[in-house]
This record gives sequence, C-alpha cells and structure tokens, in this order.
Amino acid sequence: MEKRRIKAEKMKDREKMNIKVKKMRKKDKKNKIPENEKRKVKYKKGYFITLAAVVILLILSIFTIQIMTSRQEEYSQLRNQIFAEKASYILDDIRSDIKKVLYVNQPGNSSEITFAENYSYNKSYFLYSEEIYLGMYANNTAANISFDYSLPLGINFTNGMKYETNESSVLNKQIKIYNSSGLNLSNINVYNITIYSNQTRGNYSNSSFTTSGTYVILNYIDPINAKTFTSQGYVNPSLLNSWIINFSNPASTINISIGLVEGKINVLSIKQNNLNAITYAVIKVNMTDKNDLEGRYNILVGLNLTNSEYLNYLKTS
Amino acid sequence: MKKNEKGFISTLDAVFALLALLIFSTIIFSYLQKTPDINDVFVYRQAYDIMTVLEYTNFSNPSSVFINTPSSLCMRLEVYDSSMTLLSTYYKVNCDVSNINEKITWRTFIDGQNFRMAKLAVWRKEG
Repeated sequence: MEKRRIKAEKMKDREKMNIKVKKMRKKDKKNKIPENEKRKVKYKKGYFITLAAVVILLILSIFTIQIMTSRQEEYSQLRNQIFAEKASYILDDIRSDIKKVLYVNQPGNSSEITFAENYSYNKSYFLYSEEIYLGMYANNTAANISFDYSLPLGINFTNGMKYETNESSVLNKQIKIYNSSGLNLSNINVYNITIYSNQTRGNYSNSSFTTSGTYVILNYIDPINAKTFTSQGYVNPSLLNSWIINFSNPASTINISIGLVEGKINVLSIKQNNLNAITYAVIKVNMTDKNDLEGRYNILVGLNLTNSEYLNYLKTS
Repeated sequence: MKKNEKGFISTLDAVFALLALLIFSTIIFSYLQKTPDINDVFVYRQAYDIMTVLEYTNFSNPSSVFINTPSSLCMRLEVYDSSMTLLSTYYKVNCDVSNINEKITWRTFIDGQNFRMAKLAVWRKEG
C-alpha cells in the first residue's frame, strides 16, 4: 500500500513537473515573439533610412536642377543680349563706313541737320566694295548679312524730306534736298551751304534776295583765298533762285538752285556741269519742325544671327 | 539566411549605391561643364567697344587705345587688305602675343580710299 501511495505521489510530482515544463515552454514561446518584433523594428528602421536617403538625394537633385536652370536662363539672357549687341555693332560698323561718303548728323535732336558729302569717293564703287567686304566679314564671323543698295544714294527722313546724291555722270554730279512725299519742303527755313572746290573759279552770279522766305548762306571755298566768297539773304522758296559759279578750263559751272526746282517748292540743288570741281560739300538745314526726326539711308541691311534677326533700311544714327 | 549570403548582398548593395552615386555625379558635372563661361560674354562686349573706339579714331593709333583699356585685358590687332594679306599687327604692352582663350571680333574700315578688315583678339590676362 505504502509503495502504491509513493508511486502515486511520484506520478503527481511528474505531472506537476510536466505542467511546469509546459508552462516554461509556453513562457519560452512567449519570450520568442518579442525577438521577432525586434527584428521587424530593425527592418522598419532600414526602410526609413533608405527612404530618408532617397528623399535627401531627391531634394539635392531638385536644388541642383533649379540652380542649373537659373544659371542657364541667366546665361541665355546674356547670350541674347550679346547677340543683340553684335547686331548693333555690325550696323554701327556699316554706318561708320557709309558716313565716310555721306555723313549726316542731328546733334541731340537739334533743329539743325548737317550733311557732309565727300566727292572723292565714287559711290557706286564704294557701295559695291562695302558689299564685298561685308561678305568677307560674314564669312569670318559666321554671320548672315545682306546689303542691298540702290542708286542714287539717298537718305529718307520721317517728315518726308529726302537727301539725294546722284552721280550717274561723274562730271555732272548733283545733290538735291526735296520733299519726297509732297510738293513743298515748308519746314526748312535756313540752308547753310559750304562748297570746297579744287578748281579756281571765274566769275559768278548771285541770286536776287527778298525780305522774307528761306534764309540762304552760301560759302564757296576756292583754292585761292581771294576767290572765296559768301553770299547770304532771304529767297522766295516758290521761285527759282540760282547761283552760278563759272570755270574756264574746261568751260564748266557749279549751279546752286534753291526754291522751285523740277516742280517742287523750297528745294536745294547743287549741280556741277562738265567738271569735277567740288571735293567736299557741307549742307546745314534748319528745321522749324524736328519732332524726333529719323533718317534712313536707302540701303536695306539684313542680319541673321543666332536669336537675332534684323531687316530694315540703315538708320543714320 | 547564411552569414556568407548576407555579406554578398551587402557588397552588391554597396556596389549599386556607388554606381548610382557615380552616375548622378557624372550627370551633374557634365551638365555643369556644358554651361559656357559667362566671362566670355563680357570679353566680347569689351572687344566690340574697343573696335568701335578704334574705328572712331580711324585706326590711327591703336596702341593709345590699348593703353586705356582695363589692365586685366590683353589684345592683338591685325589689319588685312582685300586679299586678306596681313598689313600690320599691334599688341598691347605687357601682354603675350596670343592666348588659347582669345575671343575674335572683326570690323571693316576705310583707310583713305581703301577698304580694310580689322581683326581684334581679346583675352583675360592670366595670373
């Protein structure tokens, strides 16, 4: 009996132990779950670090792109500006050359415009040479330049006034100032003319003067000082008023006409007949109406540069 | 996963990351190099101004014009005739005769009755 009782107690102890072991195992299992969770947290940390790195890289990329874009914009603006400056530079280059033969100046929007014509240049040959040189210039600078001129060389002003220099016949060159869009050049009240001659004159005839009208100052500069003269006074702009300067060898004249010329009123014409006597002519005209007067040579200039195109008649300033 | 496999993946990951970084850097630096130097624009601008002054003074004394330009600029002027034969050359004092980064501008001008072509090379003084 005693043995049975002891055996039964042992069985109970074993059962108790088993239960304890089971509890322990259960506890062990419970202890294993937090380890897995710890791993999951570690993985999550990795994802977060990767994501943060990607975001930082993206932000850096965006900043880089923004900086580069703004730099590129800045540079392209400067580039456009320099191309515009290049166009202006080329136009100034052409204008500087043309001004050697036909100079025009209106200082500070003044009421006086000065024309100076150099008779020593053959304008047809000069303009042809300019065209050739611009071709060479275009080749050297990879620019596309067109230069279209028509003879006689002239300057058209916004108020209709036209300056024209016709040398279709070398010995019979003529300068004219007239209204190209109307009959009367009424806004000119003074013609101040200076003619430099390379020939010694013979006698000359003056125009008759009136008390009002267009005021004329004519300075003739002769190689011999004593032959130099000045003639001035008012003339009627609706009538033909002429000064004729004679030369003997060969028989020739310089005719200066102001007023009614070729059916137009208040015109100026300077014409040499059968002699190349004039070397230089300076004409100053005083306008009653200046209103932002703009002059353009009858030379059509075209420029085609990168980001810059231009096609217009060449401005005088 | 075995420890060896883990190491292999880490190395591969590092290699990919380095490659990505290299590609990213290369793209940025190539883009940076494509943007031309803004200083070039200013050199051209100076060259245009100098040429304009030279023309307005009839190219009569280029050296005196050169002296009045900024000391940081160097230049060389060459004058050619219609057949592009070199007629004369002018240099700014205390400058080299040429530079690999020189910027060229051209201008036509009239010398008496003759047409001429002027070539101006301008560059920034080094050092």
